[in-house]
Amino acid sequence: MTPPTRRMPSDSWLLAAILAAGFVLRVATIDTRGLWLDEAVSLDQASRTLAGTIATQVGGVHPPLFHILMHFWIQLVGTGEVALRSFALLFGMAAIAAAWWAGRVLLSRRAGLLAAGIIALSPYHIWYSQEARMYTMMLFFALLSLGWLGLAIRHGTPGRWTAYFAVTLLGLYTHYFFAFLVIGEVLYFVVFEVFGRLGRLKREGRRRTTWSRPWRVFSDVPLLAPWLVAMAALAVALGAWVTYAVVLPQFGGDSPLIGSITSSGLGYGQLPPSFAVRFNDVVLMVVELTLGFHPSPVMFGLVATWPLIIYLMLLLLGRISPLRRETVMLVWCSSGMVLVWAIGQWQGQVLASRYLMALSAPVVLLAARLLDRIPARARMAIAVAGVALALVGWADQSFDQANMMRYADREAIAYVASNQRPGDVIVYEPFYTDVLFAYYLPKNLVAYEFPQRGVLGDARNSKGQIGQDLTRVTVGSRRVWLVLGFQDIAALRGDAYNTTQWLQRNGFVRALDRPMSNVEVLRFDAAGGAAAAAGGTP
Amino acid sequence: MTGIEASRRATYLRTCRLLAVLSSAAALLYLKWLFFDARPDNLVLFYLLVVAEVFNIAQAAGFWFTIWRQTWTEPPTPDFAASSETVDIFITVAGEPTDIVERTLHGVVRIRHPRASVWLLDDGHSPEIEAMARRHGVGYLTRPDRRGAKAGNINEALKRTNGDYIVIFDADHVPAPEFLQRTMGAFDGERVSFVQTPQYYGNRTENRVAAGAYEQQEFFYGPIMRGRNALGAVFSCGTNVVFRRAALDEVGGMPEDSITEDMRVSLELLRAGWRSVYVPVVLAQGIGPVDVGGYFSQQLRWARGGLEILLRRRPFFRGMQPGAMFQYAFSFAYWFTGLAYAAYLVLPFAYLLFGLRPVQAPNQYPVYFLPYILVTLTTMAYASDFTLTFRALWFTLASFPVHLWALGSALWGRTARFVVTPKTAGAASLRPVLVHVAVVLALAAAIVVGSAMRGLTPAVLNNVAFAMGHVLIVQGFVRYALRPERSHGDDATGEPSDAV
Repeated sequence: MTPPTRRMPSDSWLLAAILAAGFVLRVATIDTRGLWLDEAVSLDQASRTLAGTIATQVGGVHPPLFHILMHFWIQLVGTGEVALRSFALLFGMAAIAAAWWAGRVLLSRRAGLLAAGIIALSPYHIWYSQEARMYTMMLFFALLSLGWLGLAIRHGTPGRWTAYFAVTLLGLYTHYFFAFLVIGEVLYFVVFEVFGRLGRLKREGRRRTTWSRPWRVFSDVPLLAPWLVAMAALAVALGAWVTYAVVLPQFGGDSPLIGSITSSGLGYGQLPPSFAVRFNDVVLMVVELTLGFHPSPVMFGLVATWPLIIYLMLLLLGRISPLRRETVMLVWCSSGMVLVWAIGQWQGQVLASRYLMALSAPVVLLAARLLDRIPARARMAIAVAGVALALVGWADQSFDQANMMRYADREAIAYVASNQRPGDVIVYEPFYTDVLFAYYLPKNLVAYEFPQRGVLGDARNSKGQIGQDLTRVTVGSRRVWLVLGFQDIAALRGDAYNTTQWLQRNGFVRALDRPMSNVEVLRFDAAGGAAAAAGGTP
Repeated sequence: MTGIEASRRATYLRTCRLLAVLSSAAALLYLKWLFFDARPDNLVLFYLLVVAEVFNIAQAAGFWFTIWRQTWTEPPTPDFAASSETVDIFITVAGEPTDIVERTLHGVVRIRHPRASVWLLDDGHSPEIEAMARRHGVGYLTRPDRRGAKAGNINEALKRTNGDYIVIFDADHVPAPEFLQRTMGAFDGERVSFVQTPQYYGNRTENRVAAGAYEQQEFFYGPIMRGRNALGAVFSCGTNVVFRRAALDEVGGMPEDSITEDMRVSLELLRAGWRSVYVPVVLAQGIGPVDVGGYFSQQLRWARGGLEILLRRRPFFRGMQPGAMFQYAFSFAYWFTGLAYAAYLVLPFAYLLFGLRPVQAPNQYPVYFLPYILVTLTTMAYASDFTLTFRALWFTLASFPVHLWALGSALWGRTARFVVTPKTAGAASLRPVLVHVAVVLALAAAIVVGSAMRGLTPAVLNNVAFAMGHVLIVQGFVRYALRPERSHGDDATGEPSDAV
């Protein structure tokens, strides 16, 4: 009598379970942290009229698709924290399904499920599903772009090439760094599908393309024509926006995107670009991609374990052959990461792991492929360990107040709001955190940005100017609250120094210093009132 | 072994060369930093690191040089009917199990050649082997002593036979019927002394030690031997090889004063102006070592033999072309790998227990080291056509006690004995891996003690990561020794396999 075979759950049930797990992990901790600056800026930009929203991206550093969609989304759901983030959550969930689809069509049924599971549980991908920004959109379109490219290469129909063009264009309109994925796709196609095929044909004596008859390449490489059409369409469609929004403003003297590349990043006080070896930053990106975001000592401790990269590569030896066409494609498509890292040695600010979101798509698919190919017992052991690690990482990332990516502006502003008294002055630095104060500060309270802006929009950040502005703002006040953000930027630390120095030289003493995650709350009391304040509420 | 199809070889060679250039550049950058920019912290550790790195980079450079030009020799099938040349096929026996010898004999008598004579050279003086020879109608040769071990056995047989060509098979290597048809066409010139084919372990699918040894062999018989073929530096591996008798006669037969007589005779033939050829087609299947003790025994013999030639013979390179000279030098230097690895082992201990490190500003180290090691590994993986395994690498690295023992023995002149690699697994025993057990335990202790003493600082975690990597490498033989497998080559069929 043959033993009954175990019935495995169908793919639909497995995918449903994965989606459910991904949803729970994302929703359960979606509001354990307040908005950070970029989210508040997105809200500010999307809250304007449609034309106004688009105008914020002209000359800005992002293409407009996300902001346009957010513009409509917030009209639908409101502007609460969860509502704002539900847009990213939606695309985060869609990305899980897209990973399943891309893995299935490119690799195998099991690889699809594994890819979906990785994205569902990955602390890094969970984090960005909880952030009201465009990164999960980027991921979603990246997975679709890879899937459709693979399908079009395998069996190119007009429909498949059109689908590839559409999702890739949507990705490029979501974030400019999507281009690094496209660069990898282009490199793969040119090297393997064009020159590789021509080489094979030559070896077989069937190549018709010659230098004197180059047009025959279209018959030697049937995929080339539709691919070129897709590429040309992408260039035109994206080029129109880039010309309008990036190039033309440069002639008007104001293109933050170009300015951020060539000079001090975005005018935020960062140092101008300079060549430096930023090895730790590169490894930090890898740590974030694999394990999410945690306190600095943990992250830099993990960075120090970089030798494990070598042992991982050793373990992969002998397991990655033969390479399927799709695997080769994914390797090439992830090569944009190397380009980002290389650029980052000059322009350090690109070394942020969120910029690799599109490139994480081929990496996830490759990881799924690798897991798919190892023996079942090893795969199960790695899966169990991976799930445990992911859950621990998710919990720490979500609840650890010392998480280096957590910006406690919500908590800082709430603290000030709940502890301020009538007559207190609230000052915050840097000036561009005004969007956070606009969001979180109760409407009955007023806060002053510092450095203030002059009539011509220039920052009044010299000692004298800060002194003049503080004199005007603090006149008659006994207590001054100072909320400092982004103090990791040297130029901003200088401004904060001038502010605190002025207060201390002008009859105020520091009565409170409450560091929070990436934000610091200070309170300065007028010297005569310090004794009275000391015995009362802070 | 999987081969590189003819249609892919041009692309494969171009890519090997590109990777060799990239690897060289990365290595030079790393060396430049090490020599000129790195600031030593502890001088002893620093120079230990420098020496180990220079050695490994030299070995790697030898590899890049080797893979630069690889040739695939595909000799034409000779017309045996058109010549009158004779062939003596020797099966060297020294106490191997009779069933293994008989399987080999079955394969040998099927070799297609109209004038081949088969001889069992029995140094074990076994009546069963003698009866087997009679049963199969093949020659049986024995001698009163075992002077010169395998080399002496062959030399005695040379005196008593007269074939124009000599084929040598170990007792466990079962050849394919077309063995001579696919090799003898390579004797195209008068000065070709021997034609070597790959060793292939048929029991690799049933035994982990054999599998690891096979994976090492695959790398050697793949890009390395193909490169040596292009440089005229192929050496005999003692089995699956065809010699021209006249060449052996000219150099006085097999050297009897070396336990790696195959390597020695290759050198003698090269110095005498003879050529050697490598045919990268698997034409015989043998039995790889089946337990850790057997593997170490094999490695010790090879290491001793190679190091004796390097350290105690008259300069081995006299009369050689530079390309061949470098190739043999790299082959002999390979046996210092254990010494280099032992140097690496010291480093995490030094920091975790004593806070000592080789360089200041260790943050710079990975910037130069990582690209070099990653590109080098990529080059090795690609050159092997992605068949190189981690197991092959850790088999090499974790054999460091054997290499060190061989080096010590060669330096202090201890007489080496020829020991046949066992074909059957022994019982579970930690005896062959006592050093490995000690190293693993010491590393684990260093991790715990160092973390407790110094806290989980980035520097400590960095060394912990290195220590964990060493544990990963060294523990493999301990696992294999604790759970030996019993298979000894039941699947050696003698059927031809893929080309390399």
